[in-house]
Amino acid sequence: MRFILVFVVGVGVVVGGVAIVYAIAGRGEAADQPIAFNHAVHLDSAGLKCNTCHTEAATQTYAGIPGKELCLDCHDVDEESDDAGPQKEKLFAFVDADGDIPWQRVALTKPDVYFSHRRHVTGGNLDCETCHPAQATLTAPPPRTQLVMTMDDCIACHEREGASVDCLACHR
Amino acid sequence: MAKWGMTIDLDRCTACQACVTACQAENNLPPTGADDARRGRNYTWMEMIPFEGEGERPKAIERLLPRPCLHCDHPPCVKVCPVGATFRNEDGIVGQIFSRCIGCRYCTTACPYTARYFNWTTPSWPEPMGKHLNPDVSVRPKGVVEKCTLCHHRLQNARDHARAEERAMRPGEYSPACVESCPTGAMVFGDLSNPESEVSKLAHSRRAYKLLEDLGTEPKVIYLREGD
Repeated sequence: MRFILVFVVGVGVVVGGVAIVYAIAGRGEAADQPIAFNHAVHLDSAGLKCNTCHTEAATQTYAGIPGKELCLDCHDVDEESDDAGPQKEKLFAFVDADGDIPWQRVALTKPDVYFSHRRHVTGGNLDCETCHPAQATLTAPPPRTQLVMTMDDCIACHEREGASVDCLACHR
Repeated sequence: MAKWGMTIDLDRCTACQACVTACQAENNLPPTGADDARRGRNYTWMEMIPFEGEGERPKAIERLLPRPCLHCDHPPCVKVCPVGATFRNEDGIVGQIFSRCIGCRYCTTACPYTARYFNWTTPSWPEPMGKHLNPDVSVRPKGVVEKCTLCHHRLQNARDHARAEERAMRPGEYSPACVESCPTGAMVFGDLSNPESEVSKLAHSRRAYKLLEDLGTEPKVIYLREGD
């Protein structure tokens, strides 16, 4: 009886340990963004589209992260300074400083995977929400980097849409 | 489906090695030093294989044969891979998935053309070369086997261009870096399944021959012998 109890506890500890290790290993790295950018406000209230800021999604491999000049197309330093919240203050501080805003990429693929936005947006006619379903509703940046897709997700869609499932199409 | 292949005219080839350099730049191949070379650990996906031509030693004429992966229709390397890291894809290209490779090197032994290379060291480039890598091609880690992919990324890019412009791919739109760099036009690339293509006509000419043809590997890189 005692042996069974020890065995069951032992198995529980091992399984729990493995689960914890997997959970930690599966977490992305911390992504501390310079500005707590609110996607929901920009898309809902301001009525912007994804490609207003991610300008290269239809034509390049990477969708592009906007520079501060693009922010200034809408935000006016002088007019908004009175009611500027802390995030706008940060933006204006970056505008005054040298260099660009040091945004960090959070939506990642595995390092051995080649993903082209152009191939999917222009060639495949996909909406951004297909791969980034929650992005438009985020009120604050994700605290950690995240894998957007797993291979199962990619293969399922490729098979459904009749796209190539050749290994070389994504791995190189 | 096109059957991509090339012919290499040994009469036109001057062994300038522009193809070797172009391949290294295109596919992020690091320069290997003298130490690695001495140990036989240098690698170039496009390699110049020395062989003796006419005459007898010591006056024999040394020749160089440009040798990429020959992308065999019956590739011996694929048969021996225990993890499915190498395969012949729908375009007839023999691909290698570096992240799946366990570095057992069965394939390097099986390839009769020695077209596969093992990464003995972590790739590194002297500054500023490391900042000019091709983003379309991965940098392979230490401990995996790598090989020519027939610049498959160029095929994909050509397809993307064609799809974006809603048209079919044009002949010549996809060409590997080695072929593009050849100053004498010794290398001709195209669709071997199209009897009207230049490469197909050359591949069926009197001068055409395949390396180690009796092995039955059916390579899609076909040489045109000198002289005739």
